[in-house]
Amino acid sequence: MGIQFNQVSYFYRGVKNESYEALNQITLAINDHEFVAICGQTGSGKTTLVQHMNALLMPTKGEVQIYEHTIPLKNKKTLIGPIRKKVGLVFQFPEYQLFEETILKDIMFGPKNFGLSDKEAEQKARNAAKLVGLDEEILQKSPFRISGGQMRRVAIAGILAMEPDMLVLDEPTRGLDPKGSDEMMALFNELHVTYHKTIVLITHDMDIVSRYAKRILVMDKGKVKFDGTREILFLTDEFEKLHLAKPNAYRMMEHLNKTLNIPFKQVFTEEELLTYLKEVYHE
Amino acid sequence: MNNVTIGQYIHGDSWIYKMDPRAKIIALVLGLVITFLVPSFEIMAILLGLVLIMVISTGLPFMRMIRGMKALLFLLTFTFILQIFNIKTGTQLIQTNMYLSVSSIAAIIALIILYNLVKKRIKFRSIAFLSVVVIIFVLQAYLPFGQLMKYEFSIYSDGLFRTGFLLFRIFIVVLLSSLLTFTTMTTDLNNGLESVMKPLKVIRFPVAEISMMLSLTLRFIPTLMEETSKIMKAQASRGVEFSESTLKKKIGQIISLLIPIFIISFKRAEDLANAMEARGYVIGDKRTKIDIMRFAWLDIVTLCLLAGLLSLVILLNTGVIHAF
Repeated sequence: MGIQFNQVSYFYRGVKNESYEALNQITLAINDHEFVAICGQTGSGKTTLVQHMNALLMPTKGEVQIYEHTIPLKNKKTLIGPIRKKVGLVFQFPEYQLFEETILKDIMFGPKNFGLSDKEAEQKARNAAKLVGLDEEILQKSPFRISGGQMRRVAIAGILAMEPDMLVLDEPTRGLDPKGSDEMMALFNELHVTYHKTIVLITHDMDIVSRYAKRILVMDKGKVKFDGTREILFLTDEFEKLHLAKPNAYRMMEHLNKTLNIPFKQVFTEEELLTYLKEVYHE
Repeated sequence: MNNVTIGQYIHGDSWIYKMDPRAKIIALVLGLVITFLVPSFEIMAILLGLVLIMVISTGLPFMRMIRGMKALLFLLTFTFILQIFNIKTGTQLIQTNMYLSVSSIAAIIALIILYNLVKKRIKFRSIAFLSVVVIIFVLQAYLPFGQLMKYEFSIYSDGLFRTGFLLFRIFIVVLLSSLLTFTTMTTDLNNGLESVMKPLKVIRFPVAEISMMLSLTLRFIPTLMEETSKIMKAQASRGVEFSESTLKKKIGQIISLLIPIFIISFKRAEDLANAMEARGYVIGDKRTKIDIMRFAWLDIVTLCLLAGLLSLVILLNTGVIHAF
């Protein structure tokens, strides 16, 4: 199942009534239990693409199949709300969407909108809070009296409490310190491995991409320019044209290969590099 | 959300962009005074024609400007109906008997329900709205069965002229003022306002602060709109769908929009204040300008033209000159 894009185009209307093509005939399938990273320059259409994944934007042309629903809706009676429960979308800087008196109530907002009773919603909220690593005692505090990193956890818990099958994240680590960013990514990896959630995330950080993503999409000018695994991405001929950086460990490996003539092997994380170097040294 | 065009600057390079902001502000004031002094419908129509020619000559996207005025539609229709009913002088144009009857009331209710049902799927919503208003009156005239009340409906020529006069006036005022904000950058607007209001400094009026406040307000309308639509999308992802929820739910959901927007605007204000202070902004202090405004021939000619027009209208009003 998952999400299927079928020749999807989307136009934005400009100031002078000209239209600006944000997505250009995208055909794409995201299956269940995938971990997909979307990269690309600013303005390449990443955010527009993910907003189609939970029907926030309707395609100008083409169709999006979200689980059993087809967007634009054929049957006018189908509600759009339930579709959004399936695919949880976390925006950039999600901490701005908090509004309730207490953190617990804010996390409960989503499940309650989808028709759960207070009791059920509270249960789900407590589970989600535990999942993102929020302490029990913090739940009765105001969401405006905690640190920025904590606020982001609360916002993500608010989406997780809806128990979506797919979690779509727009630059979830932006503006976080390295430690916070690592913890955040570990959380998503846990959701993926332990809870079998499908994860789609937009990021510019190639270290994150190459460490976690099983599949990488690179977008440019509204088109998907690359779709494949990290092993292929850094070796493609067009890599230079994609305006991406290589991960740190990969660059270190290239440097060592050039200066010390250590035979080249694709490594993506510092740990991999270290084990490989130990291997080479022992030989 | 995207229909709101107030406070946006549209880039261009036609003659109006080359004008001095001070001249534009004075010209706007003169233009508004003229609009409110115009004595008759015919002159108002000529004035509207002139304004339209001017708007087209600036090369602004005309249709988009019109679309930005959709919000006025309801107000305009309302004034129109009130005026038509109230004024009973001049020659009679139409006279029919109107019936408030079982059949016509039922038909009107059915029509309104139908309109609300199909509203979302109509492309030209404003035209649909206007035609619904017209049909409501037609129905009253042609469905007399089961009569409850009968009244006379008549349109007089004066009524038509007076309403047209009012509509044109509102239209001109909105066009002129949006022309200023569309074609003047906020910094220019700020400088212009400050300079125009300088004489008020004599009575200790905080000219610089007021003009800064005004231009910041204008500048932040589109930004806040953008933030609002972002928050709306974020809350939509948490199950807030205004078109699909009950009234009771809607009230709770509006709070989920209002509070974040409040917080964002306060945050923005704080950031802005810090940024201004970091660049040495001190309230009430003397400041130099990077751009020195100069009146060009274009500005002088425009102002002279408008002053001439104004004196003409005043002369018409006082009866020195008779038109038509």
